[in-house]
Amino acid sequence: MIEIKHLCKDFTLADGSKFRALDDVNLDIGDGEIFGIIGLSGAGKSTLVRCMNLLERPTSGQVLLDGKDLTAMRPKELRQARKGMSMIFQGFNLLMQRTALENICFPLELGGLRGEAAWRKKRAKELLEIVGLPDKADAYPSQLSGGQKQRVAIARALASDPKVLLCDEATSALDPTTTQSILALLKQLNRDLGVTVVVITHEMRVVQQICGRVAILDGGVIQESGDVADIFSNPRTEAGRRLVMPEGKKIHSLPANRQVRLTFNGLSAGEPVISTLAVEQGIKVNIITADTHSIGDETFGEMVLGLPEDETDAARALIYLRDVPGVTVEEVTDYVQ
Amino acid sequence: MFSEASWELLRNIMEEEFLTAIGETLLMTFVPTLLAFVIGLPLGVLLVTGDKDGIHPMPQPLMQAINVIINLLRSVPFLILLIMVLPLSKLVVGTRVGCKAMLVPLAVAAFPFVARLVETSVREVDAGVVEAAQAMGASTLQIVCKVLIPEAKPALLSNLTVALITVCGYGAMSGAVGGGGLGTIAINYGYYRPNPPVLYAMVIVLILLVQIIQSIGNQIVKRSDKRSR
Repeated sequence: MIEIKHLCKDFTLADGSKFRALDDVNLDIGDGEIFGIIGLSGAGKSTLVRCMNLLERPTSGQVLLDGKDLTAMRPKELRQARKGMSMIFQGFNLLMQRTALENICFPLELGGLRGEAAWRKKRAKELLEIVGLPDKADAYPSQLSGGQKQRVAIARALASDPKVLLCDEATSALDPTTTQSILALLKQLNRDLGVTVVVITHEMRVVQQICGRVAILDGGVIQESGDVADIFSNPRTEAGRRLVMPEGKKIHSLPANRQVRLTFNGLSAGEPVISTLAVEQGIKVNIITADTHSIGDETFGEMVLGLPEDETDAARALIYLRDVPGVTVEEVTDYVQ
Repeated sequence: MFSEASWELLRNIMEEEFLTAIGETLLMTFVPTLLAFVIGLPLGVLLVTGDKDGIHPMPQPLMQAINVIINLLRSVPFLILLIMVLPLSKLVVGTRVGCKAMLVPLAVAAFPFVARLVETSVREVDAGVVEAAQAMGASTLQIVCKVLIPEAKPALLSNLTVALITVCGYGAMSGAVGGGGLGTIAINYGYYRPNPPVLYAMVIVLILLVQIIQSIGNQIVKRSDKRSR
């Protein structure tokens, strides 16, 4: 659906020097999937999503929508192509002087989409129904809550029957409950309308909740990408670990010699592995951090242990842990920073 | 306090010339402001959209030239500009005196001012909303007509009020070089003669006029702005 090839974006700073915001980004986002792009602030996420619909023109590289290269299009063709790729924003970006209904009519007024005023109104009402705000047609954005505004923005984005919905930190300005409901709506739209959703976020939970695949962006580079379950249960890069275990920094001061990170898959998450280690083997380990998350329907657990100072005990603990089915063991040294 | 003759003159003026004069003042306020918006609105929008970071960057030397012209026109004191533009009035309306002759110089004086007011109003429109419109595939003209101007409408109406009041003041000044309206009465009878009651009466009428324009303007702005409810 969206293919990004060797995309680079440079910004010229005030002093004339260049800053590379995106460096050789390659992505292939499939039809009908919910794809997450996660990174900390400054990682280049927003620049990347703006390059996808060419709100920012890439310095080099290609953006292909359905096999057609957006970077090679004339302005008119590009405007047409953008109608197949809608976007929602952190700040909602609704027209403040228009009602909810009129906001949704806006993309329908832009031409290329036929229809009389009455037809537009009817279509806008259907969309308001879909996003669950049938009674807010005549409300102005200033009369709506954040979650309602985002719903109107989603309805507006859907008006042009897009194939892709780009979400730039769409839930970052919302409270947790509202975030949940907006994510549920996005998931529902993906399922019912088959729209491909690209989610840009700095929140791991958002990705966990709705994305099938994810790419981790750090310093303008895609550090790793793959299935959400794989990446989150076993991040291979520094950037990945920092996102999955954001508390990593605090571990630094703890006095353990060697540390291992255990990942429990859905099967083993309920097993009392550490108690067994202590009771049956008589080996005491420090639990440094522990967490569980749900990815899709499965529960994943994650734990960082400090091994005993005694080398023999540490080795025995490792042997034991590696034998437990459904547990991935990995020694960690580099992520403690 | 004032002589009987002064009051007598004021009474005569109020009976014979006042209605015509107030009509002329209203004409000299609204027509030039309207003309100034016809030129100043597109120009002000262009100053925003044609900027090098705007939605439709124009050649920068052109933008600089427009900016210089606007600044030049705005820095000439109104009375001087008025005298300089009067030959143009002769050309357009066929006379250099009277209320009609003033319409051209008033519009010339007001449009650069209006262009700047429009520019600041349009710049206030949230860049995110413009970006959203671009993401939806809106053309530059569509963004101007459907986003920039409607979203800036309350600010534009508020600035329309400012422009009307400024032009009303300019119109009164034009009395000094044979314009028309209340300013002419104030200067000819009130100042040159001199006749203080006439002068004060005209000033009071002008003050009332400005108050009325301002409060009607405020009402319209308040009603048109959908952000505060």
